[in-house]
Amino acid sequence: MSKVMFRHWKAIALACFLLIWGCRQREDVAPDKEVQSHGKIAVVISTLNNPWFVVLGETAAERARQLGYEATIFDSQNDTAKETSHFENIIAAGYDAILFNPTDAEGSIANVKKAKDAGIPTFCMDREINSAEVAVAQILSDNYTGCVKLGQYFVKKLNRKGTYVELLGLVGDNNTWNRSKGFHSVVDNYKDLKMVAQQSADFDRNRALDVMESLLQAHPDIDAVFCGNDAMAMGAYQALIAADKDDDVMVFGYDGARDVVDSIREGKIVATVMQFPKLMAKTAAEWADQYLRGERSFPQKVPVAVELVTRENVDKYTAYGKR
Amino acid sequence: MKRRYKYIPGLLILGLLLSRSCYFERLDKAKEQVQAGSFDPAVYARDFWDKKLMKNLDRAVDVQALLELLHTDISQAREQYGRTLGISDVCCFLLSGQGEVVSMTEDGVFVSIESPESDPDIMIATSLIFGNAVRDASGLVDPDEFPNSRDFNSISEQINKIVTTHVIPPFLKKVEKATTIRFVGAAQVSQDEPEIHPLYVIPILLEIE
Repeated sequence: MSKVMFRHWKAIALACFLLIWGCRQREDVAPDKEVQSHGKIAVVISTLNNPWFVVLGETAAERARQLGYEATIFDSQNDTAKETSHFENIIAAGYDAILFNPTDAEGSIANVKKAKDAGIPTFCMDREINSAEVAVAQILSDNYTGCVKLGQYFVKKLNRKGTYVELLGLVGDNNTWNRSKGFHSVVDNYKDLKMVAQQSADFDRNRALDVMESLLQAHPDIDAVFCGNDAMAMGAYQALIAADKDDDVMVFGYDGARDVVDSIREGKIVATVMQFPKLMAKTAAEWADQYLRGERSFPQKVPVAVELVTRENVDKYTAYGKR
Repeated sequence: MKRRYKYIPGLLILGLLLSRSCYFERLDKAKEQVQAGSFDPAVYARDFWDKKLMKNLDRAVDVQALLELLHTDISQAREQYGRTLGISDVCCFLLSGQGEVVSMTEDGVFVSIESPESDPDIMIATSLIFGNAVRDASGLVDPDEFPNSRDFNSISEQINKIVTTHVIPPFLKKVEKATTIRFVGAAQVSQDEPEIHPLYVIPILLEIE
């Protein structure tokens, strides 16, 4: 034994030095860390490939930091499996709360349940999960009402007649169906307004461009297109420009994204519905903070009002909110 | 011969395992089971209308008092008489009153509360009805009851159908200009852009005096 130790004395000495040095470092760091942070908040976003969700995530993280938390943004890339992996890492890393934008209304329930079972409260932002038992609160745009308003404006702009196509969002997202149902609850009452095609473009601009190109080949004489979000509206508009039909076909979107608000101002895209991602994100962060300070009374589902943006009132709005 | 027989027990066990791991079911039977567990908004809306709304019409604020406050202090009207769902600048009111019909169009019946010579105070909607005013003005439907917002939203559509099929048609058959009517209804007012000249009211109860 003594021969072995003698032979490896340098390695043993180094190990002892590192051990003593490491302990000293922890004593130095701990007091500063307690002063700087109330804890850690994870911000899990469905996809950072869409600027709207970037605003949602960054606002949530920023507000959490202002409230004294370390905040980290996780991108699920629209993949429930990746989202699951994020939740596992978040739980293992001991985060104190999760601000969550789900990928799937059904598929994401299990992840929130795991967090709840680990004692980590989750606050959903913008998208809901189909359970009232696992998240602390769900702060959601009132998409149905927003599309009722959009549908009424659509009917007025088309003068109650014409043909149109609809581009749907992700089929696993309740927002897709709330928007579509709100729109159709109005438009389907007018027998001279005919939907000639309805297809999902997954809330994605490039996908919408491809889908719209195909739809234009099958239905070259449509009067309008209703898109379940602004990214798809921009993709559809691009397809119309390429087909030299941008002056003939009205485009309607949903979100209040910068490029569409600017397009409305320029007289191109006809209308959108303004959501308020910054309001949802800040509310989620503030409620997480209240929860961590002991508050337990929160409404489960909180609809956030949205507003119709048209050429007539676009000057009141900017990207993702009001001026 | 012997070599072949030694595989038989293994095949039997495999067959047993496979038979336990899957089953066949008729598609229509499976669909029935799904529908049995799913929410029926038409049934919910009917129950809500008959068993809750009709029994709580006394919650309605007098329209004259409401209009006075809306014209002078919308914030106070909102606080005192209104219901707001979630985070919104839109407030819903359940209101009641009576007045005289001063004019009629295909979209609505215009009613004056104080004097038929003055401008109409309210417009009773008699055309297509949209939105959540009746659901939210009553304060009797809690969104937390619904794990799925699609179900919550579908209620409004069904409630509006009850209005357009049961409340409005019998009224339109009898109402004329200068008729005095009694009404209970729901209205939505936006804090930023209140449209209260006249106030748009979705009817819940309409009676001709």
